[in-house]
Amino acid sequence: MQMISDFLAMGGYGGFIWSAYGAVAVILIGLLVISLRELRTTSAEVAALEANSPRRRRNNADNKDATS
Amino acid sequence: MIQQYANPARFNRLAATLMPWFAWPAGILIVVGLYFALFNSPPDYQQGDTVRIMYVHVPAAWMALFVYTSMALSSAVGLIWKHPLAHLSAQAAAPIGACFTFVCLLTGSLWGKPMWGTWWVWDARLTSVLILFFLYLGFMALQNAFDDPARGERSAAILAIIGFINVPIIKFSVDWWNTLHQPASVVKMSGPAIHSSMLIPLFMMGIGFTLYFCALLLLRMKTLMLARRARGMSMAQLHQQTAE
Repeated sequence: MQMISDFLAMGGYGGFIWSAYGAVAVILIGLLVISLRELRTTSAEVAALEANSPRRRRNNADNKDATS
Repeated sequence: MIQQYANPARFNRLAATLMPWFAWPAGILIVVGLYFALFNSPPDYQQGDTVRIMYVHVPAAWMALFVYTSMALSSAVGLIWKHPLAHLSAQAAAPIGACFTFVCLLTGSLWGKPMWGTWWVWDARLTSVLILFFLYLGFMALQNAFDDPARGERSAAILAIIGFINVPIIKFSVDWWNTLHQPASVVKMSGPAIHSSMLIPLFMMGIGFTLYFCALLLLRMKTLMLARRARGMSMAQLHQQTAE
C-alpha cells in the first residue's frame, strides 16, 4: 500500500507528472478514435453513393438484394 | 516508381500491408517504453521524478518537427511534381503534427511549473514551438479557406514550405539565444549526454510515436481518398439529376 502511494506521489510531483501522462493519453488516443470514426463514416458515405449511382443500379437490376 | 501508388487501389493494398507493421510495434513500444519511463528509470539528480515528463515531452517535440518536415516535403512534391498523393499526405499529417505540438507545449508547461517556477516564458525555444503550432493550424485553415479545394491545397502547401524556416530555428534556438529551456542533450555533435537507463526508454517512446504517426497517416490518407471519391460521385450524381 505504502509502495503504491509512494509511486503515485512521484516524490511530491505526482500532480504534474500524472497530468502530463494523462493529457498525452487523452490526446493521442482521442486523435486515433476520431480518425477511425471519420474513416467509418466516409466509407459508409461512399458505399451509400455507390448503391445510389445509376450505373450501379442498372448492374444490380437482376440482384434482388441490392434494392435494400 | 512512386507514381504507381497514385492509384488508389494500389495505395490501399500497400497501406493494408504496412498497417500491422506500424500499428503493433507502435503499441508495444509505447507500452514497454511507458513501463520503463514510470517504473524502471532513475529519478534525475537535479530534477527528481519530474524528469519522467521528458519521456513524453521530448518524443512529442521530435514528432512535432518530424511531422512538419514531412508535411513541407510532401507539399513541395505536390507543388513541383503534382503527385496526387503528396498534398493528401500533407493534409493527413497536419492534425497529427498539431496534436504532437500541443502535447509538447502542454507537457513542457507541466514540467516548467515545478522546475522553473513558471508555466510559460517567452523564450526563443518556447515561442518558436508555439509558432510551429500556429503554422499547423494555419495550414489546416488555409486548406479549407477556398471553394476550390485545389487552390486551398496549393496555398496551404506554400505556407508549409515557407514555414519550414521555423524548423531549424526551433532546433538551434537553445544555442543561438539565451533560453530558460535547456540545450540539446540527445541530438548533439559530442553524442548524447544522457545515461542509457534514460536514453533507452526515450528512444522506445520516440520510435513508438513515429510508428503511431505512420499508422495514423495511412489511415487518414485512406479517409481523405474516400472523401474525395464521395465528393466526385455526389457531384456526378447531381450532374446526372440536372441533366435528366
